[in-house]
Amino acid sequence: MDFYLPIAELSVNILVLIILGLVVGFLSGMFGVGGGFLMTPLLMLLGIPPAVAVASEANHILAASVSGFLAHFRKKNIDFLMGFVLLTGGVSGSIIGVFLLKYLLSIGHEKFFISFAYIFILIFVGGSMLRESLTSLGNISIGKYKKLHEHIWLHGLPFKVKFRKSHLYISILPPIIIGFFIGILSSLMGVGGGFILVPAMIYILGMPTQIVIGTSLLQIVFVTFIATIMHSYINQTVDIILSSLLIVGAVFGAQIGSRIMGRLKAEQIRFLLSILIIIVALILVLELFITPENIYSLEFIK
Amino acid sequence: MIFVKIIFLLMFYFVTSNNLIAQNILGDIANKDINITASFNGAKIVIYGVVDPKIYNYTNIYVSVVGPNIEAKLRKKVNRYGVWFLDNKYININFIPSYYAISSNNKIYNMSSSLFKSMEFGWSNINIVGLENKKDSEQNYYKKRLKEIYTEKQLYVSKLNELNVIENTLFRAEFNLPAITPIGHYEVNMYLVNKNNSKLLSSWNDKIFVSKEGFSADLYKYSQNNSLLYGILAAIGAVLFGFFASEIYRKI
Repeated sequence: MDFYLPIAELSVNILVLIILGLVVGFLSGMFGVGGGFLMTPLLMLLGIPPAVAVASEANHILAASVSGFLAHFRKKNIDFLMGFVLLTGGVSGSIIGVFLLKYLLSIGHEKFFISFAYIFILIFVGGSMLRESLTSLGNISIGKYKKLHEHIWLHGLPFKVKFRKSHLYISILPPIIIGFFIGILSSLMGVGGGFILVPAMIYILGMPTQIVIGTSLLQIVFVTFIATIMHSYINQTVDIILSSLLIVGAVFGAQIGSRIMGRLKAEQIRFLLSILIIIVALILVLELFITPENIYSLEFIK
Repeated sequence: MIFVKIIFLLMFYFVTSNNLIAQNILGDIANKDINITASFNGAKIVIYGVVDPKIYNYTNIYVSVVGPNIEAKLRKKVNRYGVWFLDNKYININFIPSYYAISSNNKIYNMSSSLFKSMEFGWSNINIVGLENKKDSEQNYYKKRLKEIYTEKQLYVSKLNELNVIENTLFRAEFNLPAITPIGHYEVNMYLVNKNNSKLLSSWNDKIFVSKEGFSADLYKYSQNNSLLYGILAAIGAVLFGFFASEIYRKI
């Protein structure tokens, strides 16, 4: 059954969208990633205009991360002060990202830019996931003595603040800069940014792992909230029919994923997921390199 | 049924009238209002026509469907370091039919004749504004490229020599309208031309109206006209959905 998406202005099979939401939701439930980095390129491969894919995906991630955020909120696993500092950077970054996308749309290079950014990120994420799963499949890791966190020069910058929940006394500049960077990525690429934010909070800021997921979800919820509004307001690219169909699939997928998680060997699935991510990246690479059938492109102006 | 209606129309017309010069070709359109709804997956335009059987043997029939004029940007893709980019430069086409379909009951050997130019029949004769200040050879080049793009998007349909005329009088032309079709008035033209001297004997035209209606059209309008509120509602809707979904699953 085909469904006409009013903002994307094309017909897409409704089952394909729900299954896509289900599969990506399943994977995100299993690995605790938002799944935007996988969903947006898949939507683009379906023929949905990149700017619409990015904006609608922001709306989808918002719905998907609210439930995760609430779960961590109940467990009090959130450093609100750190979240607030990250958000000052994140919100401004996401607003700037929307305007950057507007500029790219006006010069007609948004597709190239978004694909290119995705190729880098997918290869990076897929590659590190692949390496990690191969090493953990190969040998059982040996527990190492680790400090609470390493102090690096970034922490010594001015405007130091005490983050009680995270047991940190560091400058607010690194979290603001990280938040800002993720905010731009979030608006330009339709990702929550958890897959970068989480390692950045652990390895750069030195936050304790149990606080990290909840705090990053706090950032993702607010940034995608602002990004949804800004994408609609500035570029009119949020297709709520598209995002609703994805949300329906994702909600069920995430629940199934989180239930099955316990029964399967995580490393094996992580290995398969990394292969999947790398395949998507390679298809995007091919799309850039293959000689197009038509050497001209035509866009109608309304 | 429209077919029966046309036959009656035809009988009535040719029995009562001896004046064959006035109107030798007549038509009707099966569906004059095409609605782009949520389940829209393209449409079929069906045009019925009748021609006076007494003169059919020395005539040719041409049918065209011309979509609303639209502005467009034509950009070249350029290869740098093996990667395909869209060029920054573009040709602004102020005016081009957004859809173009033709059919005829005969082969056309000379599309550039004054007859086809006057009927704007055939891709090379359609009215495209924005290429005038280019050389003739360049104009032809760009027209060919546009034709390729239109063909790929199924916005150009050519069914020359495919029009079947039954009993020298009744014919039906069918064209597919793709799902990406723009909204507006589509002109339907029929021409009856003398085979021997290429003179236009008679013509008929009507319009099809393609519109967006229903929920998805309202949603589109709302997203364009109240974009801030649309965004706020989309964001709040997503939050509520996520909240209720997690509440429901907590209970299960």
